Amino acid sequence: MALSHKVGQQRVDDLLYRKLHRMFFALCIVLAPLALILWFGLCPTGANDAACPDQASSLAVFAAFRAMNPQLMQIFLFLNLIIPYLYPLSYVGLGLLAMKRSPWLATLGIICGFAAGVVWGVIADSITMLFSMAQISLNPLFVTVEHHYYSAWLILTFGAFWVVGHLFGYVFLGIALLRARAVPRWAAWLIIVSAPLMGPIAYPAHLGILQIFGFVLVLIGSVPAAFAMLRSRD
Amino acid sequence: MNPVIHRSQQKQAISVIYRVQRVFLALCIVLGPAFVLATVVIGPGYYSTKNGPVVALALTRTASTIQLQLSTILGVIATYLLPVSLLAMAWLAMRRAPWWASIAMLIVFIGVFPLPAFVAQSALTWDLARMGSNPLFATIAQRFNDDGVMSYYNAAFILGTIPGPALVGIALWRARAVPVWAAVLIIIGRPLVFLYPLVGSFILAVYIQFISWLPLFIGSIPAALVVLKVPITGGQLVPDREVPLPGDTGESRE
Repeated sequence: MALSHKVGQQRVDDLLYRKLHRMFFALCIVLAPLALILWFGLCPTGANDAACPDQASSLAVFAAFRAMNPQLMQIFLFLNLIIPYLYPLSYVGLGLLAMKRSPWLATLGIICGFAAGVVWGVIADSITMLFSMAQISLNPLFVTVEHHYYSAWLILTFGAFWVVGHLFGYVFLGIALLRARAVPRWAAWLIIVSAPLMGPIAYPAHLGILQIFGFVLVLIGSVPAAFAMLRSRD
Repeated sequence: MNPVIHRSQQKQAISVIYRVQRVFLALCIVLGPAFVLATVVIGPGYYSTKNGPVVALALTRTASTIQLQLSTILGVIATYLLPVSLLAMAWLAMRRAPWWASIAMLIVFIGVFPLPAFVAQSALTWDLARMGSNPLFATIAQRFNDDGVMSYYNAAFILGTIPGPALVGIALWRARAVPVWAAVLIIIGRPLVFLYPLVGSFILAVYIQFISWLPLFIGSIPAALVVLKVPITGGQLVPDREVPLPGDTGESRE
């Protein structure tokens, strides 16, 4: 009797922690694209800035940071704080959904997405730096500092990781989800289609709105994925 | 094609990817702490008995370019490997100490994921150091460090790199996933940095940092060897139930 009670309790605990893990990943899957939509939407240099900030060497960027509504700026900074957490895990969550039936593509997608997601620590850092300098004054010396910073090989490398990683990550994971039939076909296709929209089209066209639209597609495609994660038995 | 042959080929391809994943995770487990150790030893910011952004700026000015380049490269690699290393070690304990492992993962996640922010901070310090000794640069460095986002990351870093590995070690101990000596090394290693306020006036930061990361590195080696033996099955967040861990009697310790 006591033994069966103990075994039963253990099973409840077992189920509870697994449920918590699934809820955690499901939240990350949905909140990551949502946070990115808000981040691009609140970009101090304008929602149409595809790289936010696109003109890091210009004093106008500092002026935009100074001129931004303080409450909105706090929300923007908060988004910078949470995206480094949400973004890499959203790829891991999507990958886990497809891992059983499409392990190669899921693994590639997770690696690409993780490599890109980790870069958000650097992006948060650079945004904080811009904000800190803009708070001091509008000094042309800051433009020189920013010019040096953004042209350093380290920042360029991280930038490349972000661009390549997040786009290929969505393509690989979208195909993996499609092949694994882990989500409805339309959801997987939305995730795949978002990649060319956000990269090869948005960057040359300097249309930040396409970035937002791309992440809206990812968000819509991620909702069934989050539900699939919640229902998952593994 | 014969469906039996097709299925066996498919199975083989799947087992290859799981083997690749195991090797990758095992490498990350060992190389994460190893690269942090190397970054600590080479990083100019760790040479002083004092710390803070203004001191880091002064030290960066005196450091050689090769030292700076090398510490930056090592730091970038470490920012990718360390989170995977700590999370993979916690994952090893998931089956038999799920709550300890989950809490350890959460703490590590909170503390270690924004690590690249510090690499970027070093890059800014380097840029400022190269641009001369304008007093405004010290203001920028100080203001940037005191900002809410960076203050949070600094606090999270302490949380993720001191209690985080200690909790991972406790989870591994309770799960008996690694030898006890390895778990003990992982637990006691990083908290050694708390000695720093006592000896900081006469011992360089680099020595304390080195001593605190070294046990984690040594303790990670048996964990990596265990990962090589534990299969990962598709979509599962925990080790396969069929394959016992070392010392496994099959029951949860929580």
